[in-house]
This record gives sequence, structure tokens and C-alpha cells, in this order.
Amino acid sequence: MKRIIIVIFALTFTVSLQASVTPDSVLQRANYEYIEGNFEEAAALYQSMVDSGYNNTELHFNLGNAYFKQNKIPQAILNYERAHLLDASDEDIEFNLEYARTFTVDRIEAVPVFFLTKWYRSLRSMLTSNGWAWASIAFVAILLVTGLLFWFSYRPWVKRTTFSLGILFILCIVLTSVFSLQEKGRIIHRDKAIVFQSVVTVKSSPGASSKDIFIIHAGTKVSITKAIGEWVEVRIDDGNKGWIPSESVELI
Amino acid sequence: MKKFIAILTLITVSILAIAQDVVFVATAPSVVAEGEQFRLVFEFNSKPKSFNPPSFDNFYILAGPSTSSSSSIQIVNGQVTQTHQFSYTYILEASKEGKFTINSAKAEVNGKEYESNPITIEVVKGSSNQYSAQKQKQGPNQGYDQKVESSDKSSDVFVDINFDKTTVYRGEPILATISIYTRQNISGFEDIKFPSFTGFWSQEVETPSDVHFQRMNIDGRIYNKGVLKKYMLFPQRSGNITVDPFELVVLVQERSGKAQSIFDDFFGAYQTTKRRLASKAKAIKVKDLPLGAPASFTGAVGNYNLEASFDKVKVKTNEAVNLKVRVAGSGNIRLVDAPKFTFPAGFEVFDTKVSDRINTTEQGATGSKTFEIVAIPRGPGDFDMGVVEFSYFNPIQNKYITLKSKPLSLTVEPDGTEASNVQMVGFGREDIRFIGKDIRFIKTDKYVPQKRVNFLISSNKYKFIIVILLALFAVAFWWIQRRRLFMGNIALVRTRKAKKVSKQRLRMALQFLKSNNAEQFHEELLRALWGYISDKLSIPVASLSSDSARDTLLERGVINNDVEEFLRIVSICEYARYAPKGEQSQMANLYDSSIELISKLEAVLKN
Repeated sequence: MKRIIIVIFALTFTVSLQASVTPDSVLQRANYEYIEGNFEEAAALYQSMVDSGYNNTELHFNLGNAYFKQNKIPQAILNYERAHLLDASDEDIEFNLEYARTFTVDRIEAVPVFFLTKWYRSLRSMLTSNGWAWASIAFVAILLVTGLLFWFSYRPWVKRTTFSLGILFILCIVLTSVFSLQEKGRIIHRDKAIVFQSVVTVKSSPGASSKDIFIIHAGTKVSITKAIGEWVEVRIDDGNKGWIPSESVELI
Repeated sequence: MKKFIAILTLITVSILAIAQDVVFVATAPSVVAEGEQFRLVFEFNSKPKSFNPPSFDNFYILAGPSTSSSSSIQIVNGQVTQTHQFSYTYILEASKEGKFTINSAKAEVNGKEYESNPITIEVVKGSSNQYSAQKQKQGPNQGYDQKVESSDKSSDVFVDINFDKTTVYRGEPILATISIYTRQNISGFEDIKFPSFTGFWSQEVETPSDVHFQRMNIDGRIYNKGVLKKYMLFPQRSGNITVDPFELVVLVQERSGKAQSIFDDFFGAYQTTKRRLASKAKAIKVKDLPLGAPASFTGAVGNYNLEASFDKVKVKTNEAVNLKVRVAGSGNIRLVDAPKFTFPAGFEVFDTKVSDRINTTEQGATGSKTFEIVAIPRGPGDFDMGVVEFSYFNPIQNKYITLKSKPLSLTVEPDGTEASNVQMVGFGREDIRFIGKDIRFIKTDKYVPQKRVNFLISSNKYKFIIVILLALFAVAFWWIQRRRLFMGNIALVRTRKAKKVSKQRLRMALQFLKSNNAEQFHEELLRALWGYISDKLSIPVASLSSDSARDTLLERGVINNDVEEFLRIVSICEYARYAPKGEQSQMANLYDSSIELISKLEAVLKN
């Protein structure tokens, strides 16, 4: 009888505990477990947050760290990539991602990117989509003020200056809006994936019987270019393409 | 019990797949005498399916192939290790002098074909006389005669290497005793080849230089045993290490003739013969040290104790201090490394001086090793330096033991030259040394968990903000425009109303004229004129003077006469204001010319 009471008591207690679980407290507990060195528990807690749909840069970054500490490199890379996607300007994420990549098997020489493209991308990744949106709003405001100055000033040099500035600000507005839209597109249109299977044979066409082309290993980042049934066409950074089963990769 | 073990072994052998690499070796003496019998052995470490011997040209096969097999299984800490030995033995006799090569034998093991090493045998001219004589002499108890005798215990003379242990941990000392067993008189040794002990770090144990023989019973026969050498061996790698055979040539004094009768002692003559003896190759199983070694473990095996102390408790800045760490005990002490110890920052540490006093005895190497670390403190202070840690593996207790010294502390007193120390710090600057690499720490700042990302650019909020901005702009534009218009109007209205205002004033002046109030009249006239000019030219009255009015009027295209007229009327009015009394007719005249002037000016200044 006593036992039953104790059991019931314990059950109620756990139920009440569970009821009081909030996202914040889960995150705090996960951080605590991580600091204590219980990476498995920490990863499970972070993962539960991700599984219930939360999508924060910090959450993915911390989950990636917890996986990394357990030597689960593909999972760590996946989560770092997700964090990086949401905030491309965070240097901690970049550092950890680079470091985790050194533990992967495949060393792929990326096709060199044209330097202007590179500059453009790094400029674009300086702010997030929302950051660029706010910037464009700021430029609209400045443009309107400049317009008023232009309209109502009698002095010729003020008119000249505000006119050129106005053109510059119009360009800025176009650029920031484009950046914002592109950054948004980058996040919404997810075509990058991480290989999860330890060894994957890349085939020349979808289907197990087709010819093997090359082999990639867990943790490698691929771009998905096409999908047919259970097979996806992937392109690795050096430009090579092939088909692999879709279950061997995980979308970022 | 023995039977049971044998059966168990057989079963295990048959069950366990042979995982280890197949080794297939042929062994034979490199030099034999013509007509001499010798053994050629092909050895496997796993059972071959088929065996294909090479052709033995230039040799007679006297016997063989005789096969033998042995296997052993060992369970150490739950780890099962097994060794198998299969061998095919041929007994060959060299038929010709010269250097001959026996090709490699082929064998199939686990479906794969393996080849043994080819063997080159040099056949030298043998003294067949001596050989036959020996054969006669040695009687039937020698199965076959050969120059190199394997140390089987049936012969009269043999050598052997004994180990006090055959299963050891890496680094654990083994005592190897090389002894000779004889039933005959030995007059001396020649051409002693001690084993190389590959895989071991060996150290000779001092033994008496003359060999002292002891009688002992081996398999029911009495032998004299003499210890030739003793070695302390420290295994350097794990696995089964085979110790090479020990070889020597022994000078045996043998009786010529039959040795069956005791009377031969009196009649038989002794003859000294040379016999080459070799011990059997023996294997020692070296186990790896167990896992879970402490961080301060550097490979010491045995039993040790540790002392550490500074030579001084108090030193002055820039004065050398000596840390003495003494490790004493038995084991592989010669291979003991200095325990790791880091001085705090601000100490300049010099190379460690190592001195040892080690005796190698049959119990192992005992003694002490002293590490002296010289350091110079560069700044004053009380330093707690923690302890010196030293770990070793104790093979008897089968565990790691970590020793800790007493806590070390040091007081460094200033020596009055601290000013120069500041420069020392600057002098000793160096780049940051990275000692490890790891990922960056998690982000612990509070953040609001979000289900999904809200994009501002495509939201209504963005459009709304833009619309608000445009509305603000429109409002600002309208307001400024209106204000501008309003400001502009004041001047315009004034200009337009200038004549009207002046007319009103002139009307008032007329009333004063009628009431003959000269002072009021002139004042009102002045006001009318100045006010008209001010309004018309949009110049405040306060900043108007006769000169500026003339200039401005001329500039606006008013003819000189009219300007002069204006100035004349103004000056008359100014003058008349303070004059005691004015003429009525003169005042009326002035009034008329003022009206005339204003209408003239109006015509010019209209636009």
C-alpha cells in the first residue's frame, strides 16, 4: 500500500514537473548539462527543442557543439551549417564549422570562386535578411530627407549635392532590398545537405545497378540539384555530380 | 585435468578463426659440412591445407617430412590469445660442397597461397673421418650427429636460456640465465654468440667470471650445470618476442673408444673435440600495459618511491633554486623519465640534470635516479607550486600507482633590482603558444526561442513602414510649402498695400493740416513717406536712412529728380517737425507734392 502511494506520489510529481517545463528552462538545463560535461544529455535536450520546431542560431550552434563533443561529426556539421545559414556573420559558428570540417574524411578542392562573386557574397553575409531590410528602410528615410533638402533649398551647391546623394541612396535602397531578398531566399530555398552515412557510393544515375563514380564520406557537404524518387542528384564542391540515395543525406 | 585442457584447446582452436597473419618460415643452418645431417624446418603459425615442398637438389632426404604441431591458448584478463605452430621437418644430408639455395615451399592456408623464404646453405668440406669416428664414439643414444646440436636434453652437452618469467608486462624486467648442461668434461668455450635480444633492452648481470658447475638431475640423468651469463631484459614492445638462440663452440674432452666400461677410464685416451651448441629459440609473451594509465605515467614499471624538494626555502630574485626529484626503487629505472613539473610563470627553467645510481642484480635493476631542475625566479612572491606527481605500473599488484611528493612552496624575496626586472619582462615577450585546439564554447546568452524566422522584407510590416515614411515625407513637404508661401505673402501684401497705407496716413495728415496741427501733420507725412518706401522696397523702416533710400530707389529705376524731391520733402518735414510754427499754405503745398511724388513712385515701383 505504502509503495503504491509512493509510486502515485512520484508520478504526480513528475507530471507536475513536466507541466512546468518551458522552452527557457529546457535550454538552461541543456546549457548546464553541457557545462557539466554531460554532452549526451545536453544534445538530447537541445535536439528535443529542435524537434519541436524551434529554429534559432544559438540553439543549432549549441546542439552542434554537444554533438561535436560526442564525436558525432556529421550531426555537428549539420547543426553548425544550420546555425551558419541563419546567421552567416557569426565568427564563432564559422570557427567551429571550419574546425569540425577538419575531422571529415573527404578533402574536396572547391572550384575557385570569382573574386567579385566572393566579395559580393561576403558583403551580403555581413547582415541577415532582416538586417538588410532595416538598412533599406533607413536608406528610404535618408532619401526622403535628402529629397526635401533638394526641393526647398535655393543654394545651387546644396541642390547639386543632394541630387547626387539622392541617386546614391536610391542605389543603396535597391541593393539592400536585393540583399535582403537573396538572404531570405538562401534560407528558405534549402538545397545543401550533409552526408550522414559513413561511406556513400555516388552513382552515375539513379538506381542501385548503375555505375559507381566516386565515394564520399560522412560529414561532406553536398548541393542537391535534382530528386527522383528515393534518389537525389548531388554536386560536391569540386563540381562533380552524381546520384545517391536520399536517405544518406540530411538537408541543412 | 591435462587432458581436459588439451581438449579445450583443440576445440577453441578449431572454433576460433585464425585471425592473425600467417607466418611461414623455413629454417635451416646456414653452414653445414659435407655429409652432415641437418634439419630443415618449415614452420607455420596456422594449419596449412596443403603443403608443397621444393625440390631438394644437391641434398639427400634422409627422413621426412615429419610433421608436428602445437598450439597454446592463453587467457589474460579475459583476453584470449593463442599461438599455433605447425612444422614440417626434413632431415637432409649435403651431398656436394658449395653454396646451394633451396627454393621456397608453397602452402595453402585458409584458401590463400603462401610462400616461405628461400634458404641458402653453404656446404663446406667436412672431415668425414672425424665424422665417422664421432659417430662411432657417441654411440646409439645420438639419433643423428650434427655440428650444430639443438639443445635437446638427450644429448650429453647442451645449452639453454632460462627466463624467470615467460609472460610479462611491457617494461617488466625478466631475468635470463644462459647455462650449459654437460655430462662430460669441458675444457673451454669458443666463438660464443650471445643473443641479440631484439625487442628488449638488455643489461648484463654481473656473474663470476669462471663458470661454476653444479650437479643436478635432469630427466633421471646427472648433469653439471654451469651459469655462463645472466641478463636483465626489459621488453620494449608487446607481443610474442622470440629470443634468438644462444650459440657457442664447446671443447669437450671425450674418451676415445667405447665408453661402456668403467675400465676405459684407465685405458682409454681422452680426445678434445669441438662441438657447436645452440640453445632453443624461446618466446616470451609481452603483454601491453592495461588501459587507464594516469596522466603522469611515462612508462615506469616496477616499484618506486618519490621524493622532491627545493634546496632552499627562501631565495632572492635572480638567484638559482634547485628542485631535486629523486625516484628510487626497482624495475626499469634506467628508462624512467623525469616527472612532469611546471614552474609558475616568472621562473626561468633550465635543462634537467639527470644522475643515477643503479645496480643490476638478479632481483632487477634497483637504485635511484635523481633529476635536478635549475630554475631562476625573476620576480618576488610566495609561490605554491603544488606537488610533483609520478606514476608507475606495479606488475605484482597489476595496477597503476601514482605517487605525490610533499607540497612544494618557495618564497622569493626581492633583491632590490626589481626595476631591471620590468625590462626583463619586456625582453622575454613571446608569441602566444597554442597547446590545444577545441571548438568555441556554446552561446549562453538568453535568447527567445523562435519557431520560425520572420522575414521583414516580405512582410506587411515592411510595406507599412515604407508607407509611413512616405506619408511623413508628404506631410513635411506640404508643411514647408505652406510656410514658404505664407512667408512670401507677407512681403507681397505689404508691397501691394503700400499705396493704400500711405494714403490712409496722408488722409490723417490732411486732417491735421485742417486743424492746423503742424507738428502732427509733419510727423504723419514722414510716416506715410517712409512707410511707403519701406513696404514697397521690402526694407524694414529701422534700417532705412536717406542715403540707403536714395541708393535703393535709384537702383530700382526711379529718376533722379523724383529721388531728390523725396529727400527734399523728407528733410523739410524733419525740419518743420521741430520748427515753432509753419505756414498753412506751405503745409498744403508739401502735402500736394507728397501725393504727387507717391503717385510717381508708384508708377515706377509697381512691378
